[in-house]
Amino acid sequence: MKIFTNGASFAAGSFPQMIADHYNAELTNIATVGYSNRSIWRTTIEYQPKEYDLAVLQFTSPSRTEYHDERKWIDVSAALAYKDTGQRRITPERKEIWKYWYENMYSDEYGDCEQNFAIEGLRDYFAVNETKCIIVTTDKFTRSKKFDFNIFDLNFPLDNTRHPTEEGHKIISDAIIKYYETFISWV
Amino acid sequence: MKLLFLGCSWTYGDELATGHRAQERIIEKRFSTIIGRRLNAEVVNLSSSGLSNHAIARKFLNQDLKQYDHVFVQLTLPERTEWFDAKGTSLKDQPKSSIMKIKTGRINNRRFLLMKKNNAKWSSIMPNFPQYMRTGNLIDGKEWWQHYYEEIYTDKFGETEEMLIYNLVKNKLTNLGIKHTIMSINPKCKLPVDLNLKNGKYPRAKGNHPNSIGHIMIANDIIKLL
Repeated sequence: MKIFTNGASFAAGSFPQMIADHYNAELTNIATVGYSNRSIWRTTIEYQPKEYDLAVLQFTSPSRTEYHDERKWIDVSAALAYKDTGQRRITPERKEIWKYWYENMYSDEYGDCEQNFAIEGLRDYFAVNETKCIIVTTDKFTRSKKFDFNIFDLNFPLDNTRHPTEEGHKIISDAIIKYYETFISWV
Repeated sequence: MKLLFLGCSWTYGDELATGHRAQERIIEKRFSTIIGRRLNAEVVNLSSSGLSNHAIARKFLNQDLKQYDHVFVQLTLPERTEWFDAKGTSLKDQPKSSIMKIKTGRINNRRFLLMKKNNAKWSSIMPNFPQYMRTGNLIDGKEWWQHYYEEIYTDKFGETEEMLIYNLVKNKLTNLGIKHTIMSINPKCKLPVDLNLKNGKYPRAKGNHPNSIGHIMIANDIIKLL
């Protein structure tokens, strides 16, 4: 079995490896801390995963985004506007532009639209490539009905950075395995 | 047979007619109508001027695509974009549909109708036209979108957005088993589109859109691909 995973900080933790271990599967995990839904969509399409049996994608807050500064992709989130995230690549001018965006121009409609592009784009990509696909979110307040489930509907322990502990990752991996075996694997 | 066309001013038919009954004459002359006539098919053309690839993808995903036998999507210039103007601060023209009824009732036996202007809408952004960047959002007296194009936007971003939306459209229609034709008006487009309309072949009107002969030639070239 071959499994592909992508997502933000939750998927950059250990639950993808736990799922792979459960099935004794080969895992490709390209999840990265700070990714936006757009980054998850873009990096997956750029990676062109083919001949996988299962793809698990962990979406994040729809307000996150990214831009390219001519050298590399830079992740942007609303938090960037209020605290020093250590991203030295973002000049004060750019930081001010993004701060204005989140304070005055960003809306749920925009974030939902971007998120919908990524969900539809990825579901159809994996459908065309005959790979079963599970998309979960860590956006507690999502308005989309297109996710397989919301990770925050599970009861799991968090560490002091608001990320799952090892026990938390085990609970998430068990939930994804159960969902896969109940609703996906036999389709 | 039912066909869907979606794109920007090129597929809408800008510059095909002006003045009296312009819209009727545009519909008559544009390539979507010519193709529909030749194939004896019903045509739905949801294109409008100034649409970005983002707007084309958003409108595309809002359709019940299964009702169509063939979908034609024309991608546009990658530097265009759009945003959701929730406060309605854009200084561009406001559509009549922005007026909405919020309450009706009777006071002292006289009927009243309370109307509210709802200006929240998706708003096109075109960096080549300063009037299409006027949103009333200013940093140091300069429009936010001007800052965006000067400091944030790069060709790499536009190309990547174009690639993602091409894949979105292509995979959706492939997955649904719907025949499709994807075109572009981006002369630098590197994607395997079925037809690039900005190849210099089609005669243009003053504003650079194809003229009526150009539309006939485009229709001929598209029909050859079917």
